[in-house]
Amino acid sequence: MSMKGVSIGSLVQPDRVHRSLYVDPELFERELDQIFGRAWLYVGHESQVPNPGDYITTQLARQPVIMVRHTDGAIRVLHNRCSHHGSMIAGDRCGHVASVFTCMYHGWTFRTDGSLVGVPVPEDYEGTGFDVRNPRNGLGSVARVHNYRGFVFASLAAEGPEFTQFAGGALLGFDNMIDRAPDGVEVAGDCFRVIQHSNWKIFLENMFDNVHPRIVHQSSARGAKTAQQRFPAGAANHISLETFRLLALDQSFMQRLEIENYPWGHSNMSGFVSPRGQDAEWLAYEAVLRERHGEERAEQILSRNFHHTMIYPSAVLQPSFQQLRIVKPIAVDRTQIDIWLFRLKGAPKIVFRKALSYANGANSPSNMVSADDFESYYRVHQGLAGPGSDWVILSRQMGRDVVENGTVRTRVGSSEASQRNQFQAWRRYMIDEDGDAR
Amino acid sequence: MSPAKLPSIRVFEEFLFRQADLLDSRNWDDWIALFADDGVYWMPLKPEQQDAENYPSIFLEDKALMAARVARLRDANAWGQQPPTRTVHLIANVRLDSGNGNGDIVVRSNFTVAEFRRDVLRHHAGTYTHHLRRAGKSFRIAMQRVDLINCDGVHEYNLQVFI
Repeated sequence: MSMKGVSIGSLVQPDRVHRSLYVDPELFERELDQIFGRAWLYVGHESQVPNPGDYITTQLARQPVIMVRHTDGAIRVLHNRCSHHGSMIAGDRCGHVASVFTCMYHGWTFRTDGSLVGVPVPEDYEGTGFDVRNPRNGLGSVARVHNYRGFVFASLAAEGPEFTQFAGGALLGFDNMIDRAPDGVEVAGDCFRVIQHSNWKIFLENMFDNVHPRIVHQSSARGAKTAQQRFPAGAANHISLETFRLLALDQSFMQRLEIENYPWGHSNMSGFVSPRGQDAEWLAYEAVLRERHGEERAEQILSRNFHHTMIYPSAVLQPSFQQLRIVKPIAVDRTQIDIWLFRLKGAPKIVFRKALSYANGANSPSNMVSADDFESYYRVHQGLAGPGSDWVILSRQMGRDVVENGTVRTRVGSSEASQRNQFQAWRRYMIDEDGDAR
Repeated sequence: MSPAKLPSIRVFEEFLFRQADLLDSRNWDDWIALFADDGVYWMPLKPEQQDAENYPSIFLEDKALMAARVARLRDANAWGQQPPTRTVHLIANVRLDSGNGNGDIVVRSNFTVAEFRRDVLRHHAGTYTHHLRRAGKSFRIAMQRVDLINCDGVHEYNLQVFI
């Protein structure tokens, strides 16, 4: 569908959105510019680059970037693109440079703040108007970087809200995860990387959809029950199985969940499975936390159970189980998800064992739950590709949510308030104050 | 057990072919029965990964998790199995490794697996490391380690069935 003659703003209505949002390649390109090109996107965690010269590479919208720790100790996010002929400077996913990045094509060298050090045969440039002795002719930097308690976010746009103002209430989830750590958090190993053959928005909507679990995941729930009956001792070690079992309980169970939604599309949702235990090892962890934070504050942290915290459009955190899923839109029908697991430093081993069980069981490329989620994402995308019917209905509990100071709070878990909120943010990104396409 | 007392390589080949055939024929109960009670199916996320306790894995399944996976695969409403996954395993280059120190026999082999689901044919390749424990005249699997050559790459589709 061509956007000519169609108002993008009219594609998002309070209770429904047009199918073209999911399947139109032209809208997808606009999203990369207007949403991913302007929002604060997750880049990486500081524990991935502990020493000066350590770097990781990733991609923000269309922009390949290097996140590197400079000699001054600060983390820079540079364009992974030689200022000469455009070659990526770093071709691997992580690494270390002793002093400078060297381009593999013509040997240009750059410091870890991006500044140009040198080029071969500098006299070639004399009198040409390009100054190879000016350090500023080095690697570009992303417009804005914010290190939030070790989590590095970047915006490709110079203008826009500051990070903490942008993230708003979603920082409660990040704070909760970080506060659970006696000595801070660190990334545990490499991430899982998986492709969904569907539009990126379908995934984010599903994170806050509390009607699908007992339909989509009934087979996993029955599978978990079978395992718990046949191998009770072994199954008790896997919090993933207990999570699967709960997915298919009566709808009244999911109705108890609360979702808070914030400007710019973010949401927090309360959890339905808690890592808390009564065994000695777990209680020892809670004792450590009480020691650090005091009785009252520790209890606050431990009892605040978020299932999902989303910083739209790039990051979905599971604070209680220390997993972070990053959305990378590749094409209108192709989405990469990077799934990171974090370790709470200073916590007894049981805390990580539970997080690891959750990661391997519920987030790995082999996990049973997403086998059926991916199938539903695929079928939704394929169904919406058909031009026969235009609208996707998002009106569950419409008009019954509680609105307070810009925050939309659901009354019951099945409300599609988050989905509506995501699309209102989408609309705000995509059109200007006059309602015209940006 | 000294190498001199080991059965011929043919015996191990037949064991590996049988486990592959059970997977290809979706005869998962008999496949799980090949494992020792404390047996583990492990697919590391990284090549050369030694530590499954402190780092994530693609699969790390004991019999309880295997049973849950199999029950789902058989469930009439496992949507991701409509249509179902078909596989064909080829196993070759079977060789005996030095033991694992627990008295288990360690057998290494290479595999390719063709996997077909809904019009898409995928290809997996890698190395098996089987830690086999004697049980009467046969063996039970103490550990089946599956190293995909693309373990730390981007995974195009969810891995629903055991490789």
